[in-house]
Amino acid sequence: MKILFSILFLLNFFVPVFADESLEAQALLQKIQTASKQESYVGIFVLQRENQLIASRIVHRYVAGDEQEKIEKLDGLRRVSVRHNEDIISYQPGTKTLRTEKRQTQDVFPAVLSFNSHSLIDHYQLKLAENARVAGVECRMVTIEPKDNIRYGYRLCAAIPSNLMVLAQTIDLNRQIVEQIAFTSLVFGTVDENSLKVDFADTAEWKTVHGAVAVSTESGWSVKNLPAGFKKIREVRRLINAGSDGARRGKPDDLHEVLQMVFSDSLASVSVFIEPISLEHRAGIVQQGATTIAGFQSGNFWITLVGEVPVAAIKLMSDSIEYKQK
Amino acid sequence: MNVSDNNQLKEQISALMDGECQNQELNQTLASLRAASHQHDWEIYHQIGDILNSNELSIRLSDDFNTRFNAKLRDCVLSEPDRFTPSQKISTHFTGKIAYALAAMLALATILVPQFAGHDGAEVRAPYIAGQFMSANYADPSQSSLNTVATNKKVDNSRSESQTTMLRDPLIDRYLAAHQRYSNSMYSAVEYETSPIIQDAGK
Repeated sequence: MKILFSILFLLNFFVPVFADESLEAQALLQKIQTASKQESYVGIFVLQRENQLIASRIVHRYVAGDEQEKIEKLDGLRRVSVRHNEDIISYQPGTKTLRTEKRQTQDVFPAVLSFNSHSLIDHYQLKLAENARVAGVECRMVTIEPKDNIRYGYRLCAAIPSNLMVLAQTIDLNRQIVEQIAFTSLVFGTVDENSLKVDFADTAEWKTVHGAVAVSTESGWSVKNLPAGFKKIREVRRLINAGSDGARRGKPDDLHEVLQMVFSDSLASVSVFIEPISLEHRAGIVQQGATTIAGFQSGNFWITLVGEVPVAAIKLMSDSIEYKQK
Repeated sequence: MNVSDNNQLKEQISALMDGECQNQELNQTLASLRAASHQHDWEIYHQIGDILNSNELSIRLSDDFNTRFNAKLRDCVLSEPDRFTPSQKISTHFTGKIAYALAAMLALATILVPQFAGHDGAEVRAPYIAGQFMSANYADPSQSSLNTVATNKKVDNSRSESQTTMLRDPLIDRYLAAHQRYSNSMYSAVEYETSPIIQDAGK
């Protein structure tokens, strides 16, 4: 009895500590989201995905509610994107193409959660870990561990005191890093407006493409068995083309219409693409970094699933795609 | 709506007719056509265009021409089958369908498995073709993630192979890019590289 009492006493002591820690970690995620928008900084971040290392230079300026950002890819094909609030212009000097579009998603690094999900803690355990140092900046590490085996875990580190995310890692069930992105240099402070300008002289002669317009729809297609906590966040009909640079745009045979449903548990997301079979596809399943991609035929349709989830989640979803008459 | 807005909309309607309406303005312009006054503009601009093209087109249409034409057009559109509506019952059974396609794929594929040191010494896993383990380990879905890891280790052992190419469907890139643009993936700041095959074809 004495032991039981002691245990109860100890539990009473520890449980609130765990709860507080989880709440603190949740609050930190929200602060990361705010910091990604409201801090002004210049830095270089590197994405490490499978055999690729891709560095990008970012300039972010926030003045009186106005957000401006320039991201220049430093490796591979040169690409510069300039964003003013929701409007994005991407410059691809290789193909002399300029692409204009509206921002579609707000949780791109260094942001993380664009919508506050109360259900996050149902499926992940949030904890604060030891502080770390990234790009010369001291940061608070938060670990987000999945409670099941159908999603990955994450480790995020938020700079002290700004809360800008300086490191994000996706961790598999064997605690291996499958993909990571981190700043390698970072300077906070006032950003000169001129550093957001692009230096291409002759863009008037460039080809301009507009981001394909996606139309919201309710097609009748659905995924019956979703991994717990996943919800449909959008369903659109849109044209997709070969790659994102629009280099081959203008060739009608290269654009094709797909139905895209996006499901998310607010950290990971899975797109399900459905289209009548028109191209020669190769069926199979491939993993690239944290992303699993599966493609297969069903009736006269080709179905592709793409998501930052383990194979088990992709399998669960792909076994239960169905169509119901509207 | 003030006069300048109204004039701007009229200009946009005219641009739409000429196929010069910007994407950003398209929604606003199409919405404006729901208003009777702008519908009238649309009709008048077409009449002007027709007359400029040929005097013979200077004819007066019957009053209900547009109403009847729209009704017919609507019927045509509604009767057209939706591309995304299946003609037969759909049931998806991923494992069966894929396992068999994989046999062919695996016969061709070699695996690329480089590794990097991650933060705190953890290793970053390289890509692998999951089909490698599909047939052997996939029977129990509850175990599949563990199997993924186990298989990784198996693949890791093969990384001393000097020939490192991974065969993948070049079409995959378009889905990756499309997913990235519309999902909430943290890593989207860095867009997927289009595979070399597609870049070459585009030149």
